Amino acid sequence: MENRVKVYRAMKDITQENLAKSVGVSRQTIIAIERGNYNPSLELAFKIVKFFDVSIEDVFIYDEASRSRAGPL
Amino acid sequence: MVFFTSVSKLDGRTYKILLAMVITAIGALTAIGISIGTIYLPVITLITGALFVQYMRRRTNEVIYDERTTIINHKASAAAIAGYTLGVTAIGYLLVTMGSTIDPAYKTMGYTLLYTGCGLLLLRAMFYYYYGWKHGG
Repeated sequence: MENRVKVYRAMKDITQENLAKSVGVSRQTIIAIERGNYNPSLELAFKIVKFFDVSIEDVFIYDEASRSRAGPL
Repeated sequence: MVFFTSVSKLDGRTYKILLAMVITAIGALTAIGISIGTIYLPVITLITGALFVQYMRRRTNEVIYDERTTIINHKASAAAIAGYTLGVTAIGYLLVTMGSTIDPAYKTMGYTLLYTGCGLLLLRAMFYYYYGWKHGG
């Protein structure tokens, strides 16, 4: 699964740390999501898109062709 | 007082440094306790250390544990269980074999190791079914 968290974060001009605090996770988790190393849970994904005030499809792109290596499990 | 004031504002990096120090101290004191043959020192050290870590965790101003660390913990635990089970099975089997040829005492050690592996797997299976039941499915 791809995501545009970094893009929306840049558009909002906020740091990884501020986003992490706002959605209640560690900065390392935001880094892992942005790098595509970790797929967030549905709950965290909704928290992130709610923070950016966009729909979930705008930020997270599910591409069945490219199988994820990120998990979550 | 100064210590507690600074502890109340622990950042993630300080927490990790303190955690490493606490783990090192627990390991060292537990080893000393075992070497001098007392059970009280390791037990007291472990309890104090666990309480101190809990205290530090509550005093951090950063999120230390979240869903990602939970998954990492799960994977690490699963790998540790698999590694331990394979290890004790191999060593246990070797000791049982040595017990038949070299010294019967090895056989007891081998069976003890094999039983701990079985016990761990049994415990794991029990928790697996418990959590499977608890979370539906």
